[in-house]
Amino acid sequence: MSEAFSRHVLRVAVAQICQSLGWNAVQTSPMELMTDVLERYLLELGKYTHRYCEQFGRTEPNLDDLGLAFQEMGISVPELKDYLKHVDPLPFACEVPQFPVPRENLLQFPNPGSRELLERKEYVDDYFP
Amino acid sequence: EAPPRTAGTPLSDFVMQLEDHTPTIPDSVTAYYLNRAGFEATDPRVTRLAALAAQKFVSDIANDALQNCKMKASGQSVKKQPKDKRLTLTMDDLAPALAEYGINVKKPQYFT
Repeated sequence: MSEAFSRHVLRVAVAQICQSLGWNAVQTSPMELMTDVLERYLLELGKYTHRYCEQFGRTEPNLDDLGLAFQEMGISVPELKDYLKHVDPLPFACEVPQFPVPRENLLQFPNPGSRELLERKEYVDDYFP
Repeated sequence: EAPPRTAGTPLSDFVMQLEDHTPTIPDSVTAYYLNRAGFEATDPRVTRLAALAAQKFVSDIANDALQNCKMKASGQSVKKQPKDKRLTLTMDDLAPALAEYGINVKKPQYFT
Protein backbone atom coordinates (compact mmCIF):
# COMPACT_ATOMS: atom_id res chain seq x y z
CA MET A 1 0.00 0.00 0.00
CA SER A 2 2.84 2.34 0.70
CA GLU A 3 3.95 1.76 -2.86
CA ALA A 4 0.76 3.26 -4.26
CA PHE A 5 0.98 6.10 -1.77
CA SER A 6 4.55 7.03 -2.65
CA ARG A 7 3.81 6.83 -6.37
CA HIS A 8 0.99 9.23 -5.82
CA VAL A 9 3.26 11.60 -3.93
CA LEU A 10 5.82 11.44 -6.75
CA ARG A 11 3.07 12.22 -9.23
CA VAL A 12 2.21 15.40 -7.37
CA ALA A 13 5.90 16.32 -7.14
CA VAL A 14 6.30 15.88 -10.93
CA ALA A 15 3.22 18.03 -11.49
CA GLN A 16 4.64 20.75 -9.26
CA ILE A 17 7.97 20.74 -11.07
CA CYS A 18 6.26 21.00 -14.47
CA GLN A 19 4.07 23.81 -13.28
CA SER A 20 6.99 25.77 -11.90
CA LEU A 21 8.76 25.49 -15.28
CA GLY A 22 5.80 27.04 -17.10
CA TRP A 23 3.63 24.20 -18.33
CA ASN A 24 -0.07 24.94 -17.98
CA ALA A 25 -1.32 21.40 -18.41
CA VAL A 26 -0.02 17.85 -18.79
CA GLN A 27 -1.61 14.90 -20.53
CA THR A 28 -2.06 11.72 -18.54
CA SER A 29 0.34 9.52 -20.51
CA PRO A 30 3.36 11.83 -20.19
CA MET A 31 2.43 12.34 -16.54
CA GLU A 32 2.49 8.65 -15.74
CA LEU A 33 5.64 8.26 -17.79
CA MET A 34 7.49 10.97 -15.88
CA THR A 35 6.37 9.52 -12.57
CA ASP A 36 7.65 6.10 -13.57
CA VAL A 37 10.94 7.60 -14.74
CA LEU A 38 11.37 9.43 -11.45
CA GLU A 39 10.65 6.29 -9.47
CA ARG A 40 13.16 4.23 -11.43
CA TYR A 41 15.75 6.98 -11.15
CA LEU A 42 15.47 7.05 -7.38
CA LEU A 43 15.65 3.26 -7.21
CA GLU A 44 18.70 3.15 -9.43
CA LEU A 45 20.49 5.80 -7.39
CA GLY A 46 19.74 3.78 -4.30
CA LYS A 47 20.96 0.55 -5.89
CA TYR A 48 24.30 1.97 -7.00
CA THR A 49 24.88 3.69 -3.68
CA HIS A 50 24.03 0.52 -1.79
CA ARG A 51 26.35 -1.59 -3.93
CA TYR A 52 29.25 0.78 -3.43
CA CYS A 53 28.62 0.90 0.27
CA GLU A 54 28.53 -2.90 0.50
CA GLN A 55 31.70 -3.18 -1.53
CA PHE A 56 33.54 -1.20 1.10
CA GLY A 57 32.21 -3.46 3.81
CA ARG A 58 29.68 -1.10 5.40
CA THR A 59 25.94 -1.33 5.79
CA GLU A 60 25.13 2.36 6.06
CA PRO A 61 25.90 4.45 2.99
CA ASN A 62 27.62 7.79 3.34
CA LEU A 63 28.38 10.72 1.06
CA ASP A 64 31.34 8.96 -0.57
CA ASP A 65 29.13 6.16 -1.82
CA LEU A 66 26.61 8.65 -3.09
CA GLY A 67 29.37 10.57 -4.85
CA LEU A 68 30.57 7.44 -6.64
CA ALA A 69 27.01 6.60 -7.65
CA PHE A 70 26.62 10.13 -9.04
CA GLN A 71 29.73 9.65 -11.15
CA GLU A 72 28.39 6.33 -12.39
CA MET A 73 25.08 7.87 -13.42
CA GLY A 74 26.62 10.91 -15.02
CA ILE A 75 25.50 13.53 -12.52
CA SER A 76 27.89 16.42 -12.11
CA VAL A 77 28.07 18.39 -8.89
CA PRO A 78 28.67 21.79 -10.59
CA GLU A 79 25.42 21.26 -12.48
CA LEU A 80 23.62 20.59 -9.23
CA LYS A 81 25.08 23.77 -7.78
CA ASP A 82 23.82 25.73 -10.78
CA TYR A 83 20.41 24.21 -10.35
CA LEU A 84 20.27 25.28 -6.73
CA LYS A 85 21.30 28.80 -7.59
CA HIS A 86 18.84 29.36 -10.39
CA VAL A 87 15.81 27.53 -9.12
CA ASP A 88 13.97 28.58 -5.97
CA PRO A 89 13.11 25.86 -3.50
CA LEU A 90 9.78 24.31 -4.32
CA PRO A 91 8.19 22.87 -1.19
CA PHE A 92 5.81 19.98 -1.49
CA ALA A 93 2.13 20.80 -1.71
CA CYS A 94 0.97 19.30 1.57
CA GLU A 95 2.23 17.66 4.70
CA VAL A 96 3.38 14.08 4.19
CA PRO A 97 3.58 11.96 7.33
CA GLN A 98 6.61 9.87 8.19
CA PHE A 99 5.97 6.32 7.21
CA PRO A 100 5.99 3.49 8.10
CA VAL A 101 4.75 4.48 11.54
CA PRO A 102 6.58 2.48 14.19
CA ARG A 103 4.23 0.29 16.16
CA GLU A 104 4.31 -0.43 19.85
CA ASN A 105 6.41 -3.48 20.59
CA LEU A 106 4.16 -6.28 21.84
CA LEU A 107 6.95 -8.66 22.70
CA GLN A 108 7.21 -7.55 26.35
CA PHE A 109 10.96 -7.62 26.79
CA PRO A 110 11.66 -7.54 30.51
CA ASN A 111 13.60 -4.60 31.91
CA PRO A 112 17.06 -5.47 33.20
CA GLY A 113 17.08 -6.05 36.89
CA SER A 114 13.36 -6.73 37.10
CA ARG A 115 11.79 -9.28 39.30
CA GLU A 116 10.70 -11.44 36.41
CA LEU A 117 14.25 -11.82 35.16
CA LEU A 118 15.39 -13.21 38.45
CA GLU A 119 12.48 -15.62 38.68
CA ARG A 120 13.27 -17.22 35.32
CA LYS A 121 14.87 -20.55 34.92
CA GLU A 122 18.51 -20.53 34.01
CA TYR A 123 18.06 -21.92 30.51
CA VAL A 124 16.00 -18.94 29.46
CA ASP A 125 18.31 -16.11 28.38
CA ASP A 126 17.74 -12.60 29.56
CA TYR A 127 17.06 -11.10 26.18
CA PHE A 128 14.03 -13.26 25.43
CA PRO A 129 10.59 -11.60 25.70
CA GLU B 1 49.75 16.51 4.27
CA ALA B 2 46.29 17.38 2.98
CA PRO B 3 43.51 14.86 3.71
CA PRO B 4 42.80 12.54 0.78
CA ARG B 5 40.05 13.75 -1.49
CA THR B 6 37.48 11.05 -1.95
CA ALA B 7 34.46 11.08 -4.22
CA GLY B 8 32.30 12.51 -1.49
CA THR B 9 34.42 15.55 -0.63
CA PRO B 10 32.93 17.95 -3.21
CA LEU B 11 29.55 16.65 -2.10
CA SER B 12 30.11 17.54 1.52
CA ASP B 13 30.89 21.11 0.44
CA PHE B 14 27.72 21.07 -1.60
CA VAL B 15 25.65 19.77 1.25
CA MET B 16 26.21 23.04 3.13
CA GLN B 17 24.28 24.85 0.42
CA LEU B 18 21.58 22.24 0.67
CA GLU B 19 20.70 23.34 4.20
CA ASP B 20 18.03 25.86 3.33
CA HIS B 21 16.88 24.21 0.12
CA THR B 22 14.23 21.55 0.75
CA PRO B 23 13.73 19.24 -2.21
CA THR B 24 10.24 18.92 -3.61
CA ILE B 25 10.08 15.19 -2.99
CA PRO B 26 9.28 14.67 0.71
CA ASP B 27 11.95 12.93 2.77
CA SER B 28 9.75 10.02 3.80
CA VAL B 29 9.03 9.11 0.17
CA THR B 30 12.68 9.35 -0.86
CA ALA B 31 13.60 7.20 2.13
CA TYR B 32 10.98 4.63 1.11
CA TYR B 33 12.50 4.21 -2.36
CA LEU B 34 16.04 4.09 -1.02
CA ASN B 35 14.88 1.38 1.38
CA ARG B 36 13.46 -0.54 -1.56
CA ALA B 37 16.85 -0.25 -3.24
CA GLY B 38 18.43 -1.85 -0.21
CA PHE B 39 19.68 0.65 2.32
CA GLU B 40 18.50 2.47 5.39
CA ALA B 41 19.25 6.16 5.07
CA THR B 42 20.70 7.06 8.43
CA ASP B 43 22.24 10.30 7.14
CA PRO B 44 19.45 12.74 6.18
CA ARG B 45 21.88 14.60 3.92
CA VAL B 46 22.13 11.52 1.71
CA THR B 47 18.34 11.41 1.41
CA ARG B 48 18.07 15.10 0.59
CA LEU B 49 20.86 14.94 -1.97
CA ALA B 50 19.29 11.97 -3.74
CA ALA B 51 15.92 13.74 -3.83
CA LEU B 52 17.54 16.86 -5.24
CA ALA B 53 19.40 14.94 -7.97
CA ALA B 54 16.16 13.22 -9.00
CA GLN B 55 14.29 16.51 -8.97
CA LYS B 56 16.91 18.12 -11.19
CA PHE B 57 16.68 15.17 -13.60
CA VAL B 58 12.93 15.56 -14.00
CA SER B 59 13.31 19.31 -14.24
CA ASP B 60 15.86 18.97 -17.06
CA ILE B 61 13.63 16.65 -19.07
CA ALA B 62 10.58 18.85 -18.60
CA ASN B 63 12.60 21.89 -19.57
CA ASP B 64 13.83 20.24 -22.77
CA ALA B 65 10.25 19.31 -23.59
CA LEU B 66 9.25 22.94 -23.00
CA GLN B 67 11.91 24.10 -25.45
CA ASN B 68 10.60 21.60 -28.01
CA CYS B 69 7.07 22.90 -27.58
CA LYS B 70 8.12 26.54 -27.85
CA MET B 71 10.23 25.92 -30.94
CA LYS B 72 7.28 24.25 -32.65
CA ALA B 73 4.96 27.04 -31.59
CA SER B 74 7.27 29.84 -32.74
CA GLY B 75 7.49 28.16 -36.13
CA GLN B 76 3.82 28.67 -36.93
CA SER B 77 2.39 31.20 -34.55
CA VAL B 78 4.05 34.18 -36.22
CA LYS B 79 1.27 34.05 -38.81
CA LYS B 80 -1.63 32.54 -36.88
CA GLN B 81 -1.87 33.56 -33.24
CA PRO B 82 0.31 35.30 -30.65
CA LYS B 83 2.27 33.01 -28.31
CA ASP B 84 0.51 29.75 -27.45
CA LYS B 85 -1.46 30.71 -24.33
CA ARG B 86 -1.91 27.19 -22.90
CA LEU B 87 1.16 25.01 -22.94
CA THR B 88 0.19 21.37 -22.65
CA LEU B 89 2.82 18.69 -22.25
CA THR B 90 2.16 15.95 -24.79
CA MET B 91 3.98 12.76 -25.70
CA ASP B 92 5.20 14.43 -28.90
CA ASP B 93 7.20 16.93 -26.92
CA LEU B 94 8.31 14.52 -24.23
CA ALA B 95 9.57 11.69 -26.45
CA PRO B 96 12.48 13.59 -28.08
CA ALA B 97 13.42 15.11 -24.72
CA LEU B 98 13.59 11.66 -23.13
CA ALA B 99 15.50 10.25 -26.11
CA GLU B 100 18.35 12.62 -25.30
CA TYR B 101 18.71 10.92 -21.94
CA GLY B 102 18.62 7.46 -23.42
CA ILE B 103 15.00 6.68 -22.60
CA ASN B 104 13.13 5.56 -25.68
CA VAL B 105 9.37 5.44 -25.48
CA LYS B 106 6.94 3.97 -27.94
CA LYS B 107 3.21 4.11 -27.54
CA PRO B 108 1.28 1.06 -28.65
CA GLN B 109 -0.67 1.62 -31.81
CA TYR B 110 -4.43 1.66 -31.62
CA PHE B 111 -6.04 -0.80 -33.93
CA THR B 112 -9.42 0.38 -35.12
